[in-house]
Amino acid sequence: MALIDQHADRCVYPRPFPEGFDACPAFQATSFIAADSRNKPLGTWRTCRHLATGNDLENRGRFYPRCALGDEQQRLQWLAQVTPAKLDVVRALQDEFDQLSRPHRERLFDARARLHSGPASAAREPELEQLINGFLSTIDRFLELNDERFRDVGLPAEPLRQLIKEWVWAWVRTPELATPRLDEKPLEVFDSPARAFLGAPIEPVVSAARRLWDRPLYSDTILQILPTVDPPGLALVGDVDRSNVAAVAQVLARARGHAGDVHLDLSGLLFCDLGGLQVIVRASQALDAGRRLVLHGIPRQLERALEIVDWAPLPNLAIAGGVNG
Amino acid sequence: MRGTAPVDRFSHEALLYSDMDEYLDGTLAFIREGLAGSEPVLVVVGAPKIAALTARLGPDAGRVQFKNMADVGANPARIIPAWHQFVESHAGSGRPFRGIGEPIYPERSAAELIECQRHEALLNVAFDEGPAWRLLCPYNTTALPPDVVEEAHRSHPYVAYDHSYIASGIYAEEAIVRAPFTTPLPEPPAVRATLAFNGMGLRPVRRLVSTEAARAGFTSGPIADLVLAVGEVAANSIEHGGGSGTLRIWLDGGVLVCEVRDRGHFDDPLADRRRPAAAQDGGRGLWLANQLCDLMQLRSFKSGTTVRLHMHRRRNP
Repeated sequence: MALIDQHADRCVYPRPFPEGFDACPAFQATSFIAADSRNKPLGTWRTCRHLATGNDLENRGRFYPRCALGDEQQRLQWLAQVTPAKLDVVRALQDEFDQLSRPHRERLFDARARLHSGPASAAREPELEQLINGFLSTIDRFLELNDERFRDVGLPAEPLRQLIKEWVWAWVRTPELATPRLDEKPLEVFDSPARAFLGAPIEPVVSAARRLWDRPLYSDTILQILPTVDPPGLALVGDVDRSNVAAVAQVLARARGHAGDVHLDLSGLLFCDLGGLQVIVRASQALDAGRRLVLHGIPRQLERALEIVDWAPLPNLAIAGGVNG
Repeated sequence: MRGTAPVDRFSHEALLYSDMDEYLDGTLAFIREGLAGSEPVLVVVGAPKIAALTARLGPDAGRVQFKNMADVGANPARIIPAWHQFVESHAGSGRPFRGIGEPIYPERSAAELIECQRHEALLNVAFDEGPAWRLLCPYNTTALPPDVVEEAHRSHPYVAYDHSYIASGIYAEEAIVRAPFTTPLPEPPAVRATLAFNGMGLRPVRRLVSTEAARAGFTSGPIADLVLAVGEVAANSIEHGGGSGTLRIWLDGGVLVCEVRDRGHFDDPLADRRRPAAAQDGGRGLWLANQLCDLMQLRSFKSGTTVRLHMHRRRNP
């Protein structure tokens, strides 16, 4: 057995996830009905939408719990790209959907078990169809009522409705599946990174600059400050608030010592308060004329906050592309 | 006492009208008087009234600057900064200038009406010591509750009825307005979440606001705005409010309210409506909160300070 886990995308959290679990910032609860070998429901478990099964290549036939989003760095970068607010919207929608659909799913579970249990299954199809139609019209109403929220998180209602319909039928017709395996093709109508909200694989998430994760300049439970190359500079990953703003100021002051523009990659920023923005603004003002502090991948909301408090435009502060949020 | 309003200082006048004809008579006379003296005129009222005034003014409408109160003053705390900007751009010219502002209209919620009345009173604090100009505030006496109309007499030293001005007999002493706002706040209907916080970290505060706003049906834009605004108010509690505070969140109809209470005391009545200077350190949190939220209720008692931030579920597009 290897001492170092070679699977960087292993899910390191306790499973099943306890009620109120929030240790993983990318956690996306979804409920899952487990069944016995005769398709009788055993109960409902909470799992994570991003939890997948990894194949252990070193030990054939062995599996490990894998995070579909990737390793810790990729999880944080995905979260920064979709924004924590959007993940919270998806979490709320998922909760509401789980509650709304629970009675339907339980009835469907029973009906499916009966359908696949005896020779007289053909006679049970109409009953099943009625249940499914009832479920689908409940889903329709839910999607319609929450159209704005679904669009907000990059999951427009119409393709989502089609997808759920296919998903329900596939689940009914495939007795051996507790949850249907998603066909990845129809999921491609949703843009990456929102696709991950549905448990689908996403394109690798890129940061504005390449980060040197193994050489952090500062690190606490909510923030990491990393050196970057291409362009050379700094990356802030996580939350900047009054608890760590002094550290940010210090690292920025040291970065001013090098020649030329100072590059700051904000594409991994999950939150920054006004104190944090002030430190960034003051760092730009401390530069000599002609030198700039260049912000890469600034979240849209922060750019707006800069304008609201009249900190934009400033002569030594430049905002480069790569906006998220 | 009858006569005209003074011209040597800021003159805050209420126009009481009972129907559209009276409204148009009063406001058009005020506007035309200004235009006759080549004064810059800014009118901040609702869209239907802008349309009616524009139609009656004809070609003269082009000489009047109109702004929609729904854009400028959805949150009444944004109105004083807008007038500040108007005053600053004309104060140096040596010419007189005037404005019409109608922040109080019947569609306002009860909470908004109270904050609008506070706004009307604060206009006197904000402009009394500045240059001379005239601001006329129309009040609809048919549709507004009688106590709101009575309050207009307290916040406006001059009240116009029937083509003449009288000095309001009950105009409130400025010292009263300068004191912290202590009008009690109603108890929340049903609190959805409560969290005590201190200097150990504000991440739990941000997580709770975000989760509750998402559960209440908000989209990501207003959620992120509310997280930022509540974070700033909570940071104020840690810096100036005794080092700790309590967050409570509830839903009141379609309005999500986040309340931060602490043991601090607050004595600058205009702290949340003064545009921050680029060079100042800190002191931007309340300003930002007013720009991001639909309403902020600030109260400071001897026992402590309460700030309530309101976010409407359906925001004006």
